[in-house]
Amino acid sequence: MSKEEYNPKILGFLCNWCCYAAADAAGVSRYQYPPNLRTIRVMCTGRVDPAFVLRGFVEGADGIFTGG
Amino acid sequence: MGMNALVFNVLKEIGINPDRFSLQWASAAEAPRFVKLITEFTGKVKELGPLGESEGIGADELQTKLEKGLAAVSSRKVRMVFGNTAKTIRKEGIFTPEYINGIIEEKLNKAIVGALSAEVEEGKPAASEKKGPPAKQDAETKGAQKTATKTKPASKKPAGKARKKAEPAAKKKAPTPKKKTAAKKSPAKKKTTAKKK
Amino acid sequence: MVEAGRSPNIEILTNADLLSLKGKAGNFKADIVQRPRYIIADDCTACGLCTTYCPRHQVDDYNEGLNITRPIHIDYPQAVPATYYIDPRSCLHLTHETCQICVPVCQSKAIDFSQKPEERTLEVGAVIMSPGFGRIPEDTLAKYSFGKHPDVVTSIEFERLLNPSGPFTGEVRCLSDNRHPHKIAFIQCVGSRDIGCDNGYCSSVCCMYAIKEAMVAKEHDPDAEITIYYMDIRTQGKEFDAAQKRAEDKGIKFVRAKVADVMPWGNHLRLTYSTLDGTHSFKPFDMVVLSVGLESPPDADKLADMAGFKLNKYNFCDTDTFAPLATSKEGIYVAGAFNGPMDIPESVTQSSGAAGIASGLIKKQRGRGIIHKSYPDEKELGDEVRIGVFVCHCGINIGSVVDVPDVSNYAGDMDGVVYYTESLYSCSQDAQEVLKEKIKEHDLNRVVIAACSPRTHEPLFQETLKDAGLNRSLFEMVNIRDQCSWVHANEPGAATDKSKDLVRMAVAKARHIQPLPEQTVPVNKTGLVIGGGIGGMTAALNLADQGFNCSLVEKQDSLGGNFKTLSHTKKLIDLVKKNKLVTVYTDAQLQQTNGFVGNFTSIITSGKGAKVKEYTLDHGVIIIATGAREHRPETVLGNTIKYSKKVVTQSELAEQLEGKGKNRAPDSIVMVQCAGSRGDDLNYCSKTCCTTAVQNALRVKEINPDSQVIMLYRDIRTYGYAEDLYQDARQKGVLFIPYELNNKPVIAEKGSKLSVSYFDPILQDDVSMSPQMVALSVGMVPEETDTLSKLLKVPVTADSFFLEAHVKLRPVELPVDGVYVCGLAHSPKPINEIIVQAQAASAKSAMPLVKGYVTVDPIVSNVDKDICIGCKLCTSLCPYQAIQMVKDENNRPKAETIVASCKACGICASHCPTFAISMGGFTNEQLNSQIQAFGQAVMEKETEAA
Repeated sequence: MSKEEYNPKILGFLCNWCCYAAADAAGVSRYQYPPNLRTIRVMCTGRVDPAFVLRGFVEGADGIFTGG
Repeated sequence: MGMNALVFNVLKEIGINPDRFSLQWASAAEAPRFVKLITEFTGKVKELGPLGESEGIGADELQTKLEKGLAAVSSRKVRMVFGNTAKTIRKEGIFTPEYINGIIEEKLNKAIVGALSAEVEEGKPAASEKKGPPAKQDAETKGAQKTATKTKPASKKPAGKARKKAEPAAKKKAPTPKKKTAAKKSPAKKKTTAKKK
Repeated sequence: MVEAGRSPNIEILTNADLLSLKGKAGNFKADIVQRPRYIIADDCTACGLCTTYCPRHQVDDYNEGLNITRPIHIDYPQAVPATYYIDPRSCLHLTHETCQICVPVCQSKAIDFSQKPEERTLEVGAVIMSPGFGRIPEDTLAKYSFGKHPDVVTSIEFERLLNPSGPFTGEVRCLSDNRHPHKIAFIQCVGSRDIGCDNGYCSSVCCMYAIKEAMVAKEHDPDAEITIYYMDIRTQGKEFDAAQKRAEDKGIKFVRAKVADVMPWGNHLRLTYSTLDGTHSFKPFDMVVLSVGLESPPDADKLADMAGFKLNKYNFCDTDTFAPLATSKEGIYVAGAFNGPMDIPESVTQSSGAAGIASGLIKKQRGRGIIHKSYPDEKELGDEVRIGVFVCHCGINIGSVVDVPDVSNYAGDMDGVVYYTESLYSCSQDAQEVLKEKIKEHDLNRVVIAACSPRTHEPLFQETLKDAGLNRSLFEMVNIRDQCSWVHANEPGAATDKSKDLVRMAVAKARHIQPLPEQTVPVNKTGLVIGGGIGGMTAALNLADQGFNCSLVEKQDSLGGNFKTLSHTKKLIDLVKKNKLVTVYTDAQLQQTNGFVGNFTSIITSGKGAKVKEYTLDHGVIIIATGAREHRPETVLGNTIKYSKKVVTQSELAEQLEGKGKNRAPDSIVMVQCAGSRGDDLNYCSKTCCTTAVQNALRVKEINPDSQVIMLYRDIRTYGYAEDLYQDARQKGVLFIPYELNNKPVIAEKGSKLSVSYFDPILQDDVSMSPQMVALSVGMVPEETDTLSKLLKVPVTADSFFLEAHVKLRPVELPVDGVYVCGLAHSPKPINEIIVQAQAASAKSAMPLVKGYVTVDPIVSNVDKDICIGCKLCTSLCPYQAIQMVKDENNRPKAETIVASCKACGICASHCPTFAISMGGFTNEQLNSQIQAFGQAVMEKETEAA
């Protein structure tokens, strides 16, 4: 697989009050960004257990983004 | 607080590039910042390639290492130290990344290395206590190759009640790693020592 | 804003004008007219399609005219109501009866050009005036080349430039040629402290906002050279000095100077300024920002005439120090900048206070006309998971990018999904009816809706679920609009894949959703007020006015606190003593408090010596009003101080001038400002000392006009209307001489004589003199906040003042629910601000008391006691003190969530060594299955690739 075709699988944990809201706002302003992110909404980044991150990698994520 | 430091540490120990994990902040009003962050991160991961590629780890080994990493952060011992470190950070009231990374490295690294090397037995049950059932259930629906690797540790785990007995035994094992774990551990260890040099 | 928009008991009338206001307190009639927005607000989905089709351009007023928008638009995405509107001034149809392109474009048929202005008469018991502030007239700005050169901007315009939703999406660019400005100057006091435009007052907020804007600009471009030209830096608010220090550390320059003019200079601007020593200089800049003050609102006269209340000489609302929120007409209150220039925390505090007084006035009507919704009983859920998936087209917002039928069919193949469909607008009113029908028809017990953001629409769908007899937790939303179709508009394939993945992850989570009970906790309808000064007494009386019992605990043997001698205080003491609802405990201390909002139990001791008695009080809320006391530093600016008749504090001087010195004032007096404050001994500014000192100086001059009064200062902070006093003092001959920290005044006693020497920057020479008296402005320190902070588990700042839950949005609430703060315990402030805060704190604390119960969002944490090992990590990590330890039947310690205090952040869950804690709606099981469902996508792709 060449690097051009390669589409990384990215898992995201976004805080409802901050990054998730920013992501919504990005949509409202029609900003464009790569479609690789799959988001799991949490009420606060405090909820993100290190085990969730490791499990994400176990399940095949190439990268994990946590946004507070 | 310190969560990212813990994850970085574990990833480093199992030989995964910590750049694959990113903890960032953007307020509700900072849509452009979010876009920038996510675009950069996607680019970064793209550069690194599929998980394991830039690390030079084969698929099976990768899976084993990751399972171990998961077991480590799920183990009561590591989590206990992690919680206590978070408590210390809160008490000291110093929240600079340097300080947090330092203190996590200092207090947790030993526990992580310990958990990674010897405590597969102990770590697993705690991790699968709550997660066991869905893991199994979903695994059944999949039925592909990957399922096999996933259910293996799950099927090995002692049942809830047995855990209490299993734990002290595992603790005794901890200081002297047994053969089967020693073999798995060595590549990770090599990596860290190489880095230190 | 959103909260107000959602409340069923707040009716928001936008685009509306007040026509007349008649009647009296308790019984007003207000005629209003609501201008048409030409869009049916309930039908508009805020998709924005109309704006993209609208052919006419129009200046974007929301962005200060720096941008172009269309006649049909929404000012900004978070606007409430989240509905577009048509500006009749520029719409082609409304001006020329042509066009109407938007009408067919709107998929939800929300555009209605037949709307007419609507007149209504409202019957109300009380009125709160909060029309905000007006603009400084442009001719005042003209001398700085504003209007002549595009790169001279007001601070309000500059804020837009900095803002991500602004004209350059957050990039700062010169309006002249779009270059990034490298050298930026801020000019302070434009349109304030300016007799030239009749604005003698200080606008109070400009110094702080200039610093904030400068800091943000510096973040955008760390190399930017930013200079702030000022007369006095007035960062008197809580922690504001620290912000100024940070700005200085970041390299922002502060220059004390008067700016004479700004002239275009080739590509640049030339700024001419004069410093204290009388020299003139000029400097080139790329951009000049005018820190404009706050003017009275343009329709102030009209409002005052209509409602019959008085304005002050600056055309702001006229109020009294001791009744700072009341207009001169009973039943009409005022909040915010119309009450005089003020910042956001102060405005928010005022609005809470005003709402509290207003609701006290009309308390007999309490409970009438309130809308309580009722719902059918929740149906029993069977063991079988029956999920319904609804995928929304959102007109063409989603459907034009994401292959909605494909996603919907894909969902149909998933485990547990028994019904799936598409809908055009799943949020429309008719779609809610369809949703209810389908839930009944297919006996659905979990609902997944793939549409827009749960942040905006979850409550709507949850309402529908409740109407259909389902617990509102049995719902999961997939965001395939804001976070998918809109942001991947050019990649339909990838967007469809992403939508499928997200739907699968949501369905996986939905399988594990359990109904969560709606929890409510009853409230003990009494209050506890700690501290019997002006703040505490005002708060207690206000609670009593609202009809609640409260206990007032005072440490000293009598009420009154710092201002015992004021006649207003005496009046308050009298009122408190007469009030049957207020129980006073003097010589009293709080010993212990347990419980949580609505259900506190406190032990206090009261009495002296052998007569000490212990009382146990049950109460629902706590108001902290423990105040502060005068600071008496032993050294001031490096000088050892021996307090005597000649060396006094400002409060001692005030007492003297009121009492025995009534007819006698010293012939010469030196006042030293910031004695022990702002980094000398205390780190903060005590906010009130400058005004007090100027008042004392005026009093001295009044008694003894020949007296030589010299005030040595760093920044004179007579903010707001106190600036008038400062002007007056200067005119009456009080000498104001600034000192620098690297050249501090020297105060010494030689024999029986005092000597003060200092550097005079105007004379550029050292001056030495022997005044009869030295008065020190010593600032204040909080009273024992540390003890109380431990007892109530509430945080304090580095300066030992209580730290509020949110500086701007929740200024009188503490992070622990049910605990409020007011007065000097929060930060130093003058009496009118103490009273406002006390009124706000009592208003806020009355909310749970009026309601009678506190509701708990079911997303709180819960502990599985079988797995909990009692390690107490969660109790010490919880930022809200929402976890306590209890003993189980075997006497083993176990953690337990105090649901009323939990904020659902999940720190406890993610740090639990044994995964014993989980969060409602975000359980480990749910999140893990979501992660696993994410993994399935990975696998599917791999198999496809293979």
